[in-house]
Amino acid sequence: MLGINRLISFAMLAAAGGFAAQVSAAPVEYVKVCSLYGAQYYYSPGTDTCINADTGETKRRVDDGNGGFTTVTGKTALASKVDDIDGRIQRAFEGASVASALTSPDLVQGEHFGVRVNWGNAGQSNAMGVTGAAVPGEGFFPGGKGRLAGAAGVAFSGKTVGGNAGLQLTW
Amino acid sequence: MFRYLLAPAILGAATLLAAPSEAAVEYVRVCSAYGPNYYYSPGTDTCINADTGVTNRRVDDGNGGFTTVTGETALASQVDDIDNRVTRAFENASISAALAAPDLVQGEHFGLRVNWGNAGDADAFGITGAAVLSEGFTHRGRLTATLGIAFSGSVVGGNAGLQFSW
Repeated sequence: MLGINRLISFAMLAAAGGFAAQVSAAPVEYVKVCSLYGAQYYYSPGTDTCINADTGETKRRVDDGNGGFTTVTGKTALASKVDDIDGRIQRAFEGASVASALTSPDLVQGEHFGVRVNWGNAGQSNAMGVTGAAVPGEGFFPGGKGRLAGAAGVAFSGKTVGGNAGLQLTW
Repeated sequence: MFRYLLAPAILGAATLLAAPSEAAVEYVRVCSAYGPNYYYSPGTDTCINADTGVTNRRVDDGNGGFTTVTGETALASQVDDIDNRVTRAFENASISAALAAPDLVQGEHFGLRVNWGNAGDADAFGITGAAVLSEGFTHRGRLTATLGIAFSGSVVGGNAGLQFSW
């Protein structure tokens, strides 16, 4: 009985010792809070960059060369990508409105040239376009049929420029 | 003698019990296996890059070693998915600009047209056709059909129309 209790005591001591040894052998590092810029910020592990957990904004203190510090503000790679996509979606709307402002002039029999101005809209964007058409050749099929017509256009919306061109053969 | 030995055991047990209650506050752990910026996603063995959303996880390779499984957070995957869809939106807009149908004048019955279209970031090429299906209606009526297909990047688009004119 006495022997068993002694063994239990030794086992507990050994367990406690083992636990302590493990901790000191592999120190666990934790993510540090960055309190320089208000709430929400933490240090990106292993760096001196503070990340806003909410917005992805980053702030870093750097030496300003005059004995003081200055703060460099940026964004995480992920937040930058989101901003880039945001800008591209705006341009995608512009592109869709550009496409709807590129209708070619429509020439009927006997006409050889046409110019057309278009307005186009797609959701949030408006575009203005100008298109032209010409008949460079006709009557080269037997029986006077066969007509070749070309058309080209350009349209603008915000920062987006788009165009189209076509060549048609009809008989 | 029995009490003598029991006392350290009780102390030891009390210490062990006390430890978990002190550790009730848990912290996010740094993951240093893949360079800077990584932390352990709480409660998992997955390391997340705080900057990019890339994830790395060590898994047993079945041969006594480890291999790293790389992925992305759900948020980063969603961003990538949106990124691809925006590219396809550009391609679709350029497709719209490349789907103009041939335009038939009096006496013509067939037309073919090739088109190039651009709307900002993407180019498209398309081919369209038109045919007069019938003009035997009373009062000069004419039925015309048009059909087109255009390609841009990985996107294919098309249009079709049926018009009655008099």
